[in-house]
Amino acid sequence: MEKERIEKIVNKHRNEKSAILAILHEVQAEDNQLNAESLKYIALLLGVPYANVFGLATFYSAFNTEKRGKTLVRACDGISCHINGAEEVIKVLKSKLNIELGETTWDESFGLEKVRCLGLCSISPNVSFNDKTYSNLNKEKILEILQKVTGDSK
Amino acid sequence: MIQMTLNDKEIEASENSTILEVARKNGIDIPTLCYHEALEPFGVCRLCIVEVGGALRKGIRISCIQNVVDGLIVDTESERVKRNRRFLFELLLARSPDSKELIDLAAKHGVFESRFYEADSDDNCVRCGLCVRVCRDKIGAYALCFAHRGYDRMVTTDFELLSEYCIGCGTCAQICPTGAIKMKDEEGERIIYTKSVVIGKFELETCGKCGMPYASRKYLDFVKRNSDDAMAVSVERNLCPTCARRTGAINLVGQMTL
Repeated sequence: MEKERIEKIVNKHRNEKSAILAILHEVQAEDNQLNAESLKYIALLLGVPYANVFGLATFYSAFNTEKRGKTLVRACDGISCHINGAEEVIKVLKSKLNIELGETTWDESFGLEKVRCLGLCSISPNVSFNDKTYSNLNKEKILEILQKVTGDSK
Repeated sequence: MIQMTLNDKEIEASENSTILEVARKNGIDIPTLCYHEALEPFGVCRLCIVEVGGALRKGIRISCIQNVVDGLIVDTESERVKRNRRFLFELLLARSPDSKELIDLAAKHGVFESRFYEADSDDNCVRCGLCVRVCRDKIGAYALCFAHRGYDRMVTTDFELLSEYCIGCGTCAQICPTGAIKMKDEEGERIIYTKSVVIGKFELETCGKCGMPYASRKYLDFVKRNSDDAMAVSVERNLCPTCARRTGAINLVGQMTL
């Protein structure tokens, strides 16, 4: 990201060290990743050691240091979802998006990820597309949703 | 001063000291990996466990972070402590099965193999954090950090690349209790590396007198920048430690005979 943009975000948080997580979130939302240059500049502006910022960015799974798809598909494979057939759903996602878990499609439009729990066990299995979550899924439903979402993104 | 009992012996100890410090002062050996006198206690290797009673609720405590109190009863070698410590050694051995230092220490306490699944790697790091802490708190270079979390947690440099903040002092390699960080001086070049990351790679400056390579330029500049004038002068003399000592001694003797 350009330095001016980062400066703007950091200034918005009054150059507070304690706001580092919020800053990282905002930079990632715009850039879709936290690359070395952004992290280094954030560290410089806040006066925090660069190594610490890197440790922080890799500690939380919400942050990623490599480019991730525009739409991040989080398929829940927690206990409830697993019992209610999350594996089938994940299989469909994998074959339809043509990627493995943790990978990104060639055009960087989708990333697929397995997560432990989305907190919606009573209406499992769940899959979330960025901020929108779909529940009570099965093979047919996820296909339908995928068609709709891929249609939207085009 | 406070009164406490250490292994059935009445002793006096100063307040604000930890059980580990008091025990070592009294000649009792407690195994540790993550403890170092120069650094703040961290309490992650758990090997320094002792059994306490008396003033504190009876139970197992981490002696490197537990302060002594008046009327404390400590047992460093009870059956319960030994059993727990053996278990901890097994866990550590499962993490770093190839570390010679760890194997030796475990053998000293009667543990020769781990019942747990062994990581199939030559990763000697037990995540004690000594290197990260010494680089951060004592050296002030901030070259190392912990990245990722859970089982994937590892000591690394930023983006797992050659660190531009590393000054090549080699303190991390020296302090590492399990030999996970290694330092090699070869043909005027110093490499500091772990299993997966090369932390630093430096051309070494050669001694002005004997011609032996001894320290990286970055390290010398760092010392000059962060210490008083006397130190800066001695850096500028461009001598390796041996030659510096020798010249110092010669100067001293010269002054004495005058």
